[in-house]
Amino acid sequence: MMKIELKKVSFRYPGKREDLFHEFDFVATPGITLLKGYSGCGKSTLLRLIAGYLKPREGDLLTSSPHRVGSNRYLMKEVGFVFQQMNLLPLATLNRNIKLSGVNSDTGRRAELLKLFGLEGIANHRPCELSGGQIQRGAIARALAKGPSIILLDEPTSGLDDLNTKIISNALTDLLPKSSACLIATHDQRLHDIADEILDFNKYLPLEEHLQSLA
Amino acid sequence: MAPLSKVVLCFLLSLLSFIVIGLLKNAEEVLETQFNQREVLTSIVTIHDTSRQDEVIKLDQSLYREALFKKISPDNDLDYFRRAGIAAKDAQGKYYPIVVCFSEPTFWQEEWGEFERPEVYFFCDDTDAPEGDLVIGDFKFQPKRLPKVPLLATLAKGKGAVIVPYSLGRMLLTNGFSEMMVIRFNNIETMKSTHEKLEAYCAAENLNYSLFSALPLLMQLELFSKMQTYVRGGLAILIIIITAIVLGNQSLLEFREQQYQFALLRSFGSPLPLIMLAELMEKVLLSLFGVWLAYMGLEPLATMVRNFGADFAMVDIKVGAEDVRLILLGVLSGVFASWCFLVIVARKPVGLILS
Repeated sequence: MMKIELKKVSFRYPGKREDLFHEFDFVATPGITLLKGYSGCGKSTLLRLIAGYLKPREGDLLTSSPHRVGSNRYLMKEVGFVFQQMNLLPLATLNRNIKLSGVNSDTGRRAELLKLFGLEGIANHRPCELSGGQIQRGAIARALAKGPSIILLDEPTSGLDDLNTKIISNALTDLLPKSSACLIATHDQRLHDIADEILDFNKYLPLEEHLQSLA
Repeated sequence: MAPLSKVVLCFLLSLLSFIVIGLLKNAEEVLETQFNQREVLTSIVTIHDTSRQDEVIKLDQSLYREALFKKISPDNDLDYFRRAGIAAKDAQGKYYPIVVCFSEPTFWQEEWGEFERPEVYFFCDDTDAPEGDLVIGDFKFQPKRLPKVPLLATLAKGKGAVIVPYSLGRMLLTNGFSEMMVIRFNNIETMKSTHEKLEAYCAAENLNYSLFSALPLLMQLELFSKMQTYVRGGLAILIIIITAIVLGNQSLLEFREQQYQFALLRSFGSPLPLIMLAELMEKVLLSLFGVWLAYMGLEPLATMVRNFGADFAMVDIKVGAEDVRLILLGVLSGVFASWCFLVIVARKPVGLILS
């Protein structure tokens, strides 16, 4: 069972004077957790910290993975990340994109994912030949291909129609292993149905304070 | 940027370098060939023994000098002549210098075979060839006529000359003589060192001598050649700098274009050194391909230039292994420098690139 725990984590972006997170505590358990909050409140940053793409200034980030957070093995074996945009390598086909990220994925698994996400007919297309919804579905398929224990999705349904959102929601509920922790940073109300837990970031940062920090 | 641009860039830079270096080398080779054809590596030394000694003693000393000079320059062709103090006269009353030869001149064997003795040879052009006997002192000779040899024409200042073997000419030398030595050198260095020895000897023996040689001019040409070497070296360094700057800038543009893709690969867990190594290998292979294309294109290019006309007939763009190595070093240094730059900027955390 994957467990992620942040203990008194502080983080600030280079060039900034104030911490975005200051002695922040957080625990993520298996299941789907939605992170909600104002734009710029740190939802995406939290996902990047958990993935190890950013390093906290202070505090501890613990997981039940045997690999160190941020190490190549951790990223390769444990983490599946879906970015808000530009998720696919532009010169590789969709099939190749999925193959590149999924070290554990075999041909059968890839075919199953492509079918589930409705991408089997366009597997050999390049991203420039796909629509926004197809690209986003492809990115999620790629993230799930290796069977990760931590799945992090940053605004996966932003700008997508109901059909695409439904396909993604269904795929996540169907494919996600019970032991995996899935964190989704989103504003999308349509994903509330699949969430096991909803974490409101606004409670950590009241609106007035948030507006001040943005100013 | 497309991989093709890397190939084209290296191709053009290498081609330009090969052309410049090849043409410089070609010019040097043409000059060298022309020098060799015009016998500029030949020196003529004339010695006058002005001491008040008996002519027989002077002749003995002259023979000693000949042996000594042949020891001084054993690797070069050396012809030693003695010009008699008296001249030969033809039927029309014209006078010709007499050259007494103690040994077979080097040009003889290749022109006429064995040196026949005793025989008087008269070198002259067909047009001014006098008929009849030659008078030398109190004796008349029926000489064997031969066409003028350039070397003897130089010694006799353009006129015909008479060669007499030692067995017949020794008596002529007792009336006074001057010595002439013609040395054909293999290279400038030997020429220079032999000149130094000759001049030192003649000065020590207080001999009145004159040295006719193209050595000062050759030394200037050698300086020119050295300068050319420096220019080639400088050019190579310039190429390294240009390659590094151009490829570095190209890498920067590429990085700006591809940094998201690199970051994406890193987000999958691909190690940065592996990504960078793959990038280096790609750059190296494409650059080497460009250099190879340029090298292979040299001969067709030279043929094309030669076809423009007779003025370009001598054009040949050949580069040696050393020059190829120099260009390869330049291009690879540039590639490496641009790659190092890429490594530095690619270390930016993935989380700050991906959004």
